[in-house]
Amino acid sequence: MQLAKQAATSPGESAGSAARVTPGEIRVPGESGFWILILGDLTAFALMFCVFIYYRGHDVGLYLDSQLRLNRAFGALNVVLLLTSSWCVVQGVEAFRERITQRARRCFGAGFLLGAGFVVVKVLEYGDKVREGIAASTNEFFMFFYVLTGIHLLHLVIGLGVLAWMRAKSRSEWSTHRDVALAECGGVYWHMVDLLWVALFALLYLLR
Amino acid sequence: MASLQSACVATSRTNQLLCAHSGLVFASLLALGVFGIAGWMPLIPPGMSAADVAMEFQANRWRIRLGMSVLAFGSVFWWTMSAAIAMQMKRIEGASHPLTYVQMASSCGTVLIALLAAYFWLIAAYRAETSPANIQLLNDLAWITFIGFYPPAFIQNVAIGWCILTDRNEVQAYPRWVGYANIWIAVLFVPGALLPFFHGGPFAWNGVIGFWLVAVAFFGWIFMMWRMTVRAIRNDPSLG
Repeated sequence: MQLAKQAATSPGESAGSAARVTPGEIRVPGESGFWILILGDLTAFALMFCVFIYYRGHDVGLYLDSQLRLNRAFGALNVVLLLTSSWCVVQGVEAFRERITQRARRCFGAGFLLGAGFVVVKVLEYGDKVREGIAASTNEFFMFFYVLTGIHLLHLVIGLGVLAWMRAKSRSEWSTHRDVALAECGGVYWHMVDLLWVALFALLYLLR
Repeated sequence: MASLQSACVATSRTNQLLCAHSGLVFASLLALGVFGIAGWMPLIPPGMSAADVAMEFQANRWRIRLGMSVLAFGSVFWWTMSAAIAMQMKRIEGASHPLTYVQMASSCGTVLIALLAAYFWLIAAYRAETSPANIQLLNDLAWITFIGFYPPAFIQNVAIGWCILTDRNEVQAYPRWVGYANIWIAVLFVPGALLPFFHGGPFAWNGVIGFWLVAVAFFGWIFMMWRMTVRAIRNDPSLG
């Protein structure tokens, strides 16, 4: 809240000091209100994961058999892509905060490309499944597979938009407190997308 | 002259508060009509056979007609609540207020949802003796409209959220977390898009995600916006 107030009242000041924290002060990355969105979204996904586990419990055999028809290589490759992308974004936010504009831009660009790679892999995977005649109506497992990965993909595409915006924003050397806070929000959002994929990968592709 | 002006301010303040409180009237009448009087808790499952659906409408025609009349009447209070929010958005945006218009226009969509669904159910109860297939179709029409008709509510929430997050005034009408919460709840409405694909399970109109998540988000949103709009009216400098 402290940071949000600062950001709102001093848009003309330069960045950098946003990272400074006096001892004993708790600093929330981005701004505290934004965490409603993050924790709220995580709660909604957690609910969906519970629903998945609950339904799975009624017909474990079907879920195990169906799971074997997924291509784990695609799922694992996407984990690697997103984790690497998240790392790039961390570096980018750090550079952005220090106003090393070129490095920030490069990091966000790399993060974006890796994220776009996820979309390509996902499209190839969906294409494979459709060619094999597997649709959301095939069985309950694939209903969950398409719905959960679809909702996640929607989040990821929004995240790509956010990364593109952050890359554009990092062109300017005159980033304000507010810009830094917003870039941190974008970074947090991207890590959430990453975290959700790791959880989805474990649930859909690995859980035995 | 001064006393005339202050009288106008007092009236405006009272009317704005009335509009804000009407959000609770909307929520109460909706819950009373659908869940209370019509008795649809649990909801009519989408997988129910046509004969059973027709039976439900024949056996409960009086309750359904009464409950749906209450829902239809209650639906207009969405407009009044949206007007209270619009006043605060206008205060945020100033003389040029496009988001206020987006919010007010999209509120018509949500009123329409409640009205249409209420009248589809009313018609089904009115002609309960017609063929079960017809009753089932009217019932589907009503439920899918009522629960799956999310785009107007989505854009209304996004407009409110965006407006709050871009507030640059000295005294902010709403705290910033309300802006983020609006955007989050807008996203929670999107699973409504999955409704037409399922006749059962978690994403159907009576499912955990399809109904419960959306319903909790919807009623939670009304409660939050009621509290926060009343607070905003009370701290509005132009209302003294």
